[in-house]
This record gives sequence, C-alpha cells and structure tokens, in this order.
Amino acid sequence: MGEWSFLGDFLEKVHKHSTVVGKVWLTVLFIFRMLVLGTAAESSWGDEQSDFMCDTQQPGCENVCYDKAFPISHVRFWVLQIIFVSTPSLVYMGHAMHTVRMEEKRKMKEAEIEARENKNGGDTYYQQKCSVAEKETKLSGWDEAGGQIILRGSLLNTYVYSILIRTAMEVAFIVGQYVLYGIFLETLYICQRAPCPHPVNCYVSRPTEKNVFIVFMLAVAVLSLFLSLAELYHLGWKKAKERCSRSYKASPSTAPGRLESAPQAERAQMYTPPPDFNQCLSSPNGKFISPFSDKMASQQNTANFATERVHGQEDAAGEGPFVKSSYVESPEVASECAAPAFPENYFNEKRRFSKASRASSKARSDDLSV
Amino acid sequence: MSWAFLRDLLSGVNKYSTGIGRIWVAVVFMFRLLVYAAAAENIWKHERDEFECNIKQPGCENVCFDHFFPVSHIRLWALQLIIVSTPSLLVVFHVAYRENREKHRNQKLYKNPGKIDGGLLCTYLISLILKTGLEIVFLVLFYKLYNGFKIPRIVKCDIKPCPNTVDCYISKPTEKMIFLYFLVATSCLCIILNLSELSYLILKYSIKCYLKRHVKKQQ
Repeated sequence: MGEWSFLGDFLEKVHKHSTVVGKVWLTVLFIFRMLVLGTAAESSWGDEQSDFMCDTQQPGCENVCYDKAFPISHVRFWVLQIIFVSTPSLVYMGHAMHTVRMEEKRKMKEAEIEARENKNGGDTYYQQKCSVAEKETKLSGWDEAGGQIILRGSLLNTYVYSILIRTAMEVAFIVGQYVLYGIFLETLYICQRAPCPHPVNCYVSRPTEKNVFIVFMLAVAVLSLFLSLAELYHLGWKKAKERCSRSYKASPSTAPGRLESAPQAERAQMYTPPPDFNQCLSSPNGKFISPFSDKMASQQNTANFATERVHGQEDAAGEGPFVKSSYVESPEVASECAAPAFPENYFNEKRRFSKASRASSKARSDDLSV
Repeated sequence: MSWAFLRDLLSGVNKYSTGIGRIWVAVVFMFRLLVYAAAAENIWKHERDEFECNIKQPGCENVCFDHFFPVSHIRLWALQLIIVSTPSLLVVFHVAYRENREKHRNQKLYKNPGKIDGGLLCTYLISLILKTGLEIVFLVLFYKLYNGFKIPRIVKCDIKPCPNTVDCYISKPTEKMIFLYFLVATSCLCIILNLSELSYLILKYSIKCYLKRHVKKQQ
C-alpha cells in the first residue's frame, strides 16, 4: 500500500487545481481504486498460481495452463489502468506548475521594471505595463486577482485534453478487460497446450471472491468514466451549446461589441481606468481568448463584482497570498491593463458566488468554478 | 529501508532540475518505481517455487534455474532503478557544497546557489551523461543475459545432475514479458529525455555565451 504514496503525493497537488467534479474523480480514484486494490484485491489474488490446480500430474502442465488462462493477472492490469488513467492529470499539473512559475518570474520582472521606473520617472509606466500585460496574455491561466490559477486559454485546453485522454484510457482498459477475460471468471478452465497430454480441467482459486472484486472494479471504472464525461460537459459542452444558441439569436454585429464593452465600461466607471485603457483594448488577439469565453458570464461577473465590493470589507482581512484555484470568465486583456487602478482589497478578496450567479454557493473557495 | 528513501532523495533533485529533468523524475516515479513496487515485484515473487522441471532427479531443478536465471529479472530491474537515479545526487551534493562554502565564508558567493551555471552546469551535464550511459549499459545487460527480451515458456536443460535433456517450465512467461517490454520502453523514454535535456542545456548555454561575446565585441 505504501507504494501508492508515490502517486498519491502527485495527485494531491492535482487535487488543489481541479474542479469540483475533478476532486470527486480523484477521491474515487484514491479510495475505491488504489485503497481497495492495495489492501483487499492484492491479497485475494495472492495465491492465484499456487492454488491454480489442474487435473493432471504432468509436470509443467499447470504452469502453461495458468499462463494461457491469465496472460496478465487482474491485479497487474488494474495497476496499469490506474497509472495510465492518472497520467493525463499529472501532465495538467505540470502545466499548472509551469504557469505558476512563469507568473512568479513575471511578478519579479514587473517589480524590477517598477523599481527602474521609480528611479527614472513614471511616464512610461502604464505603456510598459500594458505591453508586458499584452505579452503575458499569451501565458494563459493566470489572473492578478488574489494569486489564483484561472482556467483559460492553453491551461484550460490542457485540462480538457487531459480529461479527454483520461476518458479514452478508461474506455480502452474497460474494453481490454472485457476482451481478455469477459466479465466473470469461471471456476473451471479447460486447457489444451503442450506438455499437457490431453485437454485437462484446471480450477481457478477463489473465483467468487475474485468475481466480486472484478465487478466492483468494473463498476468504479464506469463511475470514473461517467465523472470524466460529466466534467467535460460541465466545462465545455454547455458553453458551446450556449454559444451556438446565442449565435442563432444574434442581433446586428454592433450588439456583441456593445455586450462586451458594457461590462468593461461598467468596471471602468467603478474602478477609474488609466488614461490609455482603450489603447490596451484596441487589439485583442483572438488566438489567445479562451474558446469557452462567454458574454453571459461576463455580465454575470459584473454582478459578482458588485456583490464582492459589498462583501469586500468583510474579506479584506482574508487569507495570505497562497495559490487558490477559481475559474472566472473575464475579458483577458482588460483585466491585465485595468489592474493598476483596482482598489487594494480587490486582490485579497475570496471569489464568492453572488446570489445572481447560477452556480451553487456551496462550492468551496478553492474549487475551480465555472 | 524501502523505496521511499529513493523517493525522498529524488524529490530533492527535483528542486535543481530543468523542466525536462522534472519530467524525468516524474517518469521514474510513476512508470518505473511505482510499476515495480505495485506490480512487477509480485509477478517474480515465487518464480523459484513455480519453476518446474519434468524430472524427479534431486538437484536438477536447482541447477537448471540457476543456469537460466543467474540474476533474476526483478533484481536487475531494482539495481537499474537505483544506479540510474544516483547520478542526479551529484547535483544535490554540488549545491550543498556551494551553500556550505557561502556559510563558511559568511558572504554571498553565488547569486543563487541552485541556479545551473558555471561548475554546477558541468556537474549537471556529467550527471546526464552518466544516467544515459548507465541506462544503455543495463539495457545491453538485459539483452545479453537473457538472449533478447523474450521469456520462453519452456527451456531445455541438460546440466549435471540432470541425467538427460529435461523440459523446464517457467511460470507466468507472458506476464513477465509484458512487464519486461514495459521496462525497456520506459528505459528508452528516459534515455530520450536525458538526451533532449543534454542538447537543450548545451544549446541554451552556447547561445548565452555567444550573445555575451557578441555584446562585449560591440562594446
């Protein structure tokens, strides 16, 4: 069981940067797969060959029949399944950690630039900040708000791809198990292979107990598959559907522009943008905008901001700058450029769901929320 | 003493590695250490008891097993894991040496003792070359000892005291072969990662040197 701590430590970090459904998936993986495999299933398969009996005294016959009946043992198959199914999450975690590191470097650079500008005079500060910020929108998934990892752009893509690959692996292993062994294990296995002189009856040890575990592990695999699909739906398909339905209802081309600029204008009113705010907005590079960006969500965010301003004083004491994860739909370029003008406590606020938000207010603050 | 010891050592290595180095550590943990400890060990657990020869002559099974498996696959695998991981410790030792030096002289000798430059870069490159070399050595050893990466179902043995050529049967040959291929694949992956890290570092620092010289010339 101790060997699973290798994987457990890695996956705990993934746990921090996952959505609610992702956390449930990880919990299912830890408890119902790793723990059950390590404690119960392995001991059930412990005597699988020593108690595999064939109705013959021919030396070597039992060996070759066991090898034919079980090319790979169930337990080893499940170990490989857990490892391959967890690997995409680790790739996502690597990307997230890389983003964190890049953000730390960016903050150091900004601090250096600020120190330099303070010596030379502050004329070019905002222009430099905007150019740095525009460059840094290329590094997706980071927002100034409270040092949080935001799922967007390439980080969101990595997350979605990791779930897709995980789903594919899950399906592959379930199908593989069915192809190798079917669903249930039979008590009797009839074997005809040299050096067995004739077809011999071989008896599997503990078939019922093994069947219980096989069905259990199959059910957990199907549950994990379902959770992965639910997470995919939760992340993307809903938004794609909304975008499709909105594009059908779409009015003239100015309306979307108005919709997009409306929340920004409101925010501009609330937070007094710097003089060349519009310059920063002039060329949003479509390549780096999240495929899941959503105008409805931006409007909702405006409501959230208003609520947060109300709650701002309560949360100002807040928790220190540690990395929390929340998923926020926001116009990328605007947030970076407008950042200097935001009030101080904005960065320390915990992102909370407003009553206007459709999402559950029971979600924890360190969840990636959609 | 268990694999957790190696894991703790390698976690220390992670701090002073490049991005590719971190991927290498993750591959070693996930695909080699974990697979070894959780799966492979149990396959080879009773290999001697399950090795069966078609003869009642006492001692025949013993000598035949010893002839075909001078070192068991699983023991060689464990040795490979340990020996291939240890060159990374050179980097950790060098960083510790740097920090010790700073402490003794009570002054900041290095901008960042963990940054890969100067002497630490040489140590890092040497550790990469050693790791790659040792991986290749072990792969060749596996190939030579067992005549390729196949595990036969039946082997013919005629060593004394076996009176004639006897058939001996190896247990779980298919499963052992699957994991042997897995071992070879992960070794090759680690070799590729080491070589790409080596070329990345050499390229990065040659460009850095070239640019420095270029700037100096311009000045």
